Amino acid sequence: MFFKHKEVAQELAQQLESGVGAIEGRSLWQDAKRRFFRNKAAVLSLFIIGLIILFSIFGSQFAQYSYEEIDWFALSDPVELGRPSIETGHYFGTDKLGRDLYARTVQGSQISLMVGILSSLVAIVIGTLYGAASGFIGGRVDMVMMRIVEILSALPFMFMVIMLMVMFGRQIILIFVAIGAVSWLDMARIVRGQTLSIKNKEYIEAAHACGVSQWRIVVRHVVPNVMGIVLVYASLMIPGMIMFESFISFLGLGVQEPETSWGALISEGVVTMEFALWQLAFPLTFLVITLFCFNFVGDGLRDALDPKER
Amino acid sequence: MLNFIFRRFLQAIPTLLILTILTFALMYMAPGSPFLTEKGMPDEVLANINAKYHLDLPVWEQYLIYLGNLVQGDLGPSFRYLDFSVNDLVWPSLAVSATIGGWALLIAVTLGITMGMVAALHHNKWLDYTLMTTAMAGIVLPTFVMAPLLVLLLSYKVKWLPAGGWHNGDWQYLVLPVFAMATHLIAQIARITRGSLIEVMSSNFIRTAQAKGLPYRTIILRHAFKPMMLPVVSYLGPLFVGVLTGSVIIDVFFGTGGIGQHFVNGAINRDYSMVMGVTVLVGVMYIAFNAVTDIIYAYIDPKIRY
Repeated sequence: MFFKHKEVAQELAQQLESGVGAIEGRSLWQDAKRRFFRNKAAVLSLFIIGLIILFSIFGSQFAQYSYEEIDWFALSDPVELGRPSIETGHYFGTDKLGRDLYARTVQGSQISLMVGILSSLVAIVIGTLYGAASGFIGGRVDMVMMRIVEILSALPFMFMVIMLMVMFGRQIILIFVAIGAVSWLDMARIVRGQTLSIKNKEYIEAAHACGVSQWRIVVRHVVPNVMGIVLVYASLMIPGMIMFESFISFLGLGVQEPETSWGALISEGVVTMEFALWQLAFPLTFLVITLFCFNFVGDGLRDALDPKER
Repeated sequence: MLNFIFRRFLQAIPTLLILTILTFALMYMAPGSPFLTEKGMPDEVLANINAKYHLDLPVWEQYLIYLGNLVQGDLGPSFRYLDFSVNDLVWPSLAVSATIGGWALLIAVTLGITMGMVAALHHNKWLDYTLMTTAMAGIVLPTFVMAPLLVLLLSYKVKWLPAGGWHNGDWQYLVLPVFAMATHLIAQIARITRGSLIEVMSSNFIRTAQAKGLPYRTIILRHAFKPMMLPVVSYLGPLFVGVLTGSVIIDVFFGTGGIGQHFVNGAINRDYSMVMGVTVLVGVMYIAFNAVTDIIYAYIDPKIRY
């Protein structure tokens, strides 16, 4: 027994010396990747999200009609001629104005996904920088900065965004900015908490000792280390944003015709659901599947990057 | 405790001020005048109207007048329905919203907590999986999806319940709006309760209680229930927002005539004062609700000193 240990130890020593077969370290990210890819629901969801993104980008290639063109023939009898069918080229049928629902769904997917991803991005950038700065500077500045966040998050922002939309017109850019700019608050709070715990680590002290400026420490050392948490919340934020945009569009306050989004399509489909169910069913399916998948991916990422949360 | 409550409400004052300043600033910066019509109107008339609504005064004076009225509970005149003030329009609909929202809250809390507890106590059994899959469905189905689906199934297909309307709050007319609003909230609460109870059940004081030989029921109700409620209580704020947001959809979709309907109509008609009035009203309720939540939280959580 003793000899065997010795042999193993010798072998290991030789390996270490020669550098052959040395044990490779795994970084935090590699570990997380392994854990994530073991989660089947999350991987499948990621795959489906990929398909939906591809659909939104290349789907229009297969459309027989443009999204704003009215098919007068189908309009004459939307219930019969506007039905989903391969022969007429209206794969998803037509909407109540005789426009091709397939092309409109593609267009709606673009807008919905874009709003979801871009406004999350806005929220993440603002929230991460604000939270990291607040946590890192600390003291009175931190107190004031967090008090601002506290006050802002006590405001009914859904109503305020709609107010913004009403007063400054319904531009799609405004939706991104408005939604993004009001939803960075949670992110700021989370990042601040993380930063407080990172702040006292040795490598930050080392950076200080080397004379790195405060701002550079925040950007180069603090922010990358809170990225894991940020990623998790981002993936949970995107479906929230998509839902929010759909909500506004459902009320008829979001995207402007002829542009459309899932929410706008659903709100149109609801009117005719008694006799033309497909007008509701297709956009609804896309929205619900996307929301499901983002939630699963988010859960998967959380399990992968934040093991103590389990 | 009284001191804490007092201080908590004092803290709400700057938030309220910022709320009014923000809404007022937004309205002030908004392009166009609510009185501009296609035809245009004589300058004298416009000047008269501007004077009536104090639009000719400097900004800060307008704000002070507005704030003064607000403190007295006056949300201002409606710019669209000229003979009505925002109060006239909003108060009756507030009762409708409160009825629907109140029921939805009640059902969401009781059902959600029950579902979450049952799931947690059958952790990793089939019952847990079934309940949590259902909850996941509830989370991804927003109110504006739930409402049409419920109407499609229960009103058009089987014709059990009316598809909309209010009828002085007859129960048949209440069921669909309340459930459409509550599903999402039930799901959220169930998930939070489950997570919280699972964590509480694995803590030391529960093991001690078990070691003492206390009956199962006592352990759950006497020992586990209160700490379990902490995350649920802190979710009450977002829950309230959910009800407010939900009410906008519900009122528009079911035509129940609640406060959300005024808000959306105001938004579509560009009735600034209405939109602003509702925003301020909702904001005040939300801020007050947050304060109450904090107080309940401090009451339950022994770790908080006040």
